[in-house]
Amino acid sequence: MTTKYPAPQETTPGQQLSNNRLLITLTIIALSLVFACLIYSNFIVRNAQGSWPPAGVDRMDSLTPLLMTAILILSSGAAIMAVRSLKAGQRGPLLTYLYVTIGGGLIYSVWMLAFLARLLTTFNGVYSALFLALWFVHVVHAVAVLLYLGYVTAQVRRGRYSVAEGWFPLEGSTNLWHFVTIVWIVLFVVLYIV
Amino acid sequence: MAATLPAAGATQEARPFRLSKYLSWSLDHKVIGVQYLVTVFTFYLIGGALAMLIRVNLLTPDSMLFIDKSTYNAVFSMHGTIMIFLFLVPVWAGFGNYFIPLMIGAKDMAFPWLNAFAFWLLPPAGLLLILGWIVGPPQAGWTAYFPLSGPIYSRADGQTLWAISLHLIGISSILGAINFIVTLKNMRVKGMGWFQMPLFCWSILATSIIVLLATPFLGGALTLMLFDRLAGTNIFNPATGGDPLLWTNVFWFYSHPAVYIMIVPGFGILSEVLSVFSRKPIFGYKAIALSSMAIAGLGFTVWAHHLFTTLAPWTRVPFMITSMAIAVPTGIKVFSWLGTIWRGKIRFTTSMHFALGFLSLFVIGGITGVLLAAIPVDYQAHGSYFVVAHLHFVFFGGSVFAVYAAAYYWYPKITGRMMDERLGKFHFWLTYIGFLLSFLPMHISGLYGMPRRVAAYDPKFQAINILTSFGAFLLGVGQLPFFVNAATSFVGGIRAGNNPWRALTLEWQTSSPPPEENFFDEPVPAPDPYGYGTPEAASYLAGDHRPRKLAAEAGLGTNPLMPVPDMPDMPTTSEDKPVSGDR
Repeated sequence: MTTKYPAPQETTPGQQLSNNRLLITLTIIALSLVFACLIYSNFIVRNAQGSWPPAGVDRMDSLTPLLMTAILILSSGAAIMAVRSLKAGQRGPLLTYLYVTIGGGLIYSVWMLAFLARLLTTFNGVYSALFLALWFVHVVHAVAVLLYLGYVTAQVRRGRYSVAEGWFPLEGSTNLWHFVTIVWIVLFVVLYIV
Repeated sequence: MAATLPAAGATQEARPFRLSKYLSWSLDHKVIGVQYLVTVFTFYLIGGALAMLIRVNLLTPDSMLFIDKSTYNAVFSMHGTIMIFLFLVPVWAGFGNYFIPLMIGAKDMAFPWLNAFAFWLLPPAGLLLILGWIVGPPQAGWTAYFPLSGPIYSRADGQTLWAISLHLIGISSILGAINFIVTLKNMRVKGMGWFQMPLFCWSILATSIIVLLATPFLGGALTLMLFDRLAGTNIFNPATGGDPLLWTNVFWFYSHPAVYIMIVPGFGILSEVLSVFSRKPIFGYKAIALSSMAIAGLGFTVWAHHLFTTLAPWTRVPFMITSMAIAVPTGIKVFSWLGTIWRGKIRFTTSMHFALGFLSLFVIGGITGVLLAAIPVDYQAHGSYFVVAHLHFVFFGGSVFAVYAAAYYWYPKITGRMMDERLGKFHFWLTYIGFLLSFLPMHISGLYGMPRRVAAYDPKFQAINILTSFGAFLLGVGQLPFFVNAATSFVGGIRAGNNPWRALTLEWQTSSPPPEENFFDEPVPAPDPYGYGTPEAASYLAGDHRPRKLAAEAGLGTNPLMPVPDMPDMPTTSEDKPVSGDR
């Protein structure tokens, strides 16, 4: 006969939320350091050149990336509004804002992947190389977070997440999206302005 | 005559061993811990076999085994990579996964799914690395400096697979570290504050912080290497404007903290084992705990001592200073451990043998490390066998000895059986003597100028190399008793009971092996997990803290974890009484 023992220490919902929040924080710290490494590498390689861009290399167009910056900032704004809508119990606006967030992310991702594919054919030494490396790593993370956002949106459509039930996946995915946007802004400054 | 121990099944439901549980996806941290340990020890055997090939080749000065010396390059590259990334880095994830939740009184890790995912990245990563031999193995050493590891000089795809494999291992490492940090921060049982936590938990916390902050840099460096090898970006190629030293700097920015990832949990194990088998409180608990964190922090400031010979002159002295300074928190630990065993009632179990062996060998390795931190010494010794001697004294004499100490200490808890002590001590002496015969002479051959990573060498070094090789063969053969012992004890070892070592930490206050949810009732930590020799410890070990009503309702009687009659070489009549002069 098997004896059932009382389980020690069931994880409370509050404790699980605290765990999840710390998970997202630590993940963002780790991912930030990957980009810090790449940005450092960018400056090291740049400083090894006489001038930047190197002699004979045309500066990259910054107008479209600037437009993408605006789109990403808008999509992050929509993510913030999505969270506010959930807290206010407004499910219609919640879904709309999530669609706007994902839509902005998709426009950026498609543009970036096309840009990278074109870059592979018009390669111009280390100048192109740094754009390729940094943008590629960024878009990979953006697509991964978009997949998570897509999953969360599908769950919202099924009526999941509310203040009463808990809504951490929405909080986590939107925080990760803000991270993607902030990294884009930093990379934009590093690659186009500095 | 040995006292017979009660069967482990006497007070819990019988749980037959099922191999399929360990070969499939499981969310139980104990299963994941065993999966880690079996996987990493398999890689250890592969890495060890490669070391034997190296030593056979170096018996003669003319590369007797490998006519094609590039094969020798591949052998030492794979040996280093496997031992570091597939054994020493993940082995502590194995012990940590099994024992951290038990030591803090939790049911499981904070994120069981993430835990399983992190483990299951490891076998495919290892297979990818090893199968890279088929498409042309990596030959640039485990450090993979450019341009040697670039697309021009390492055309073989094995180097690319090396980079992808390390990426996967890095992700596994980071996910595991996040899990440990969250678990330790949020899931300690009531009554266990930060400074009531066992020192192994502190060491895992410090290690996890290092992993979280350092491994992303490896990821960044590997990403750029993959771009260079696959997309022709030439980021590390000086001929086209790139910088090969960028790889060296970023790689070592990760890899120096990585050596602390490999040793700091070993420090934690030392604190556990030395205290238990001296029956004395740990000397300087807070000093040991905080020095682990100091090592974690300082470990990020020393990386360039690996590139003294390439640095701009003005940068060398600061790195020399930091490299010497990091010996201070480690020295604090060593003296604390000596203070722990001083006037203790030492029990010379196999685990204690390995812990004491660690103390002697790691100190030698640490001293040669401080020697190498001096710039002019490093100029002479860089790239020589002196460095190989140093790194093996700290990696093997340090980390591997600590792994064995942990294995002998915790095997009874994992399996419910005791390992054979005679075979264990035989394993220890073969290992200790073989190790010294193999690696002590390397200091001499290194200082006399024998370079590392060479298949053929000047004949004047042959005598030392023969001695080294025979020491290595003894060391290699000496590992077999451990695996034989582990296998035979699993089937026929004496049943361990709950607490054969009469230890105070929480993992010993449950059955061996623990039930699925780790504890029979609410775990109550000892007021001092190292309070050996105090009346409170004696009372705790007698089970006086257990909630009797709950135990009675569970059908266990008033004292469910009844004291285990001790084995003949561990008398208990006086061990839990205060030693005169101690608290």
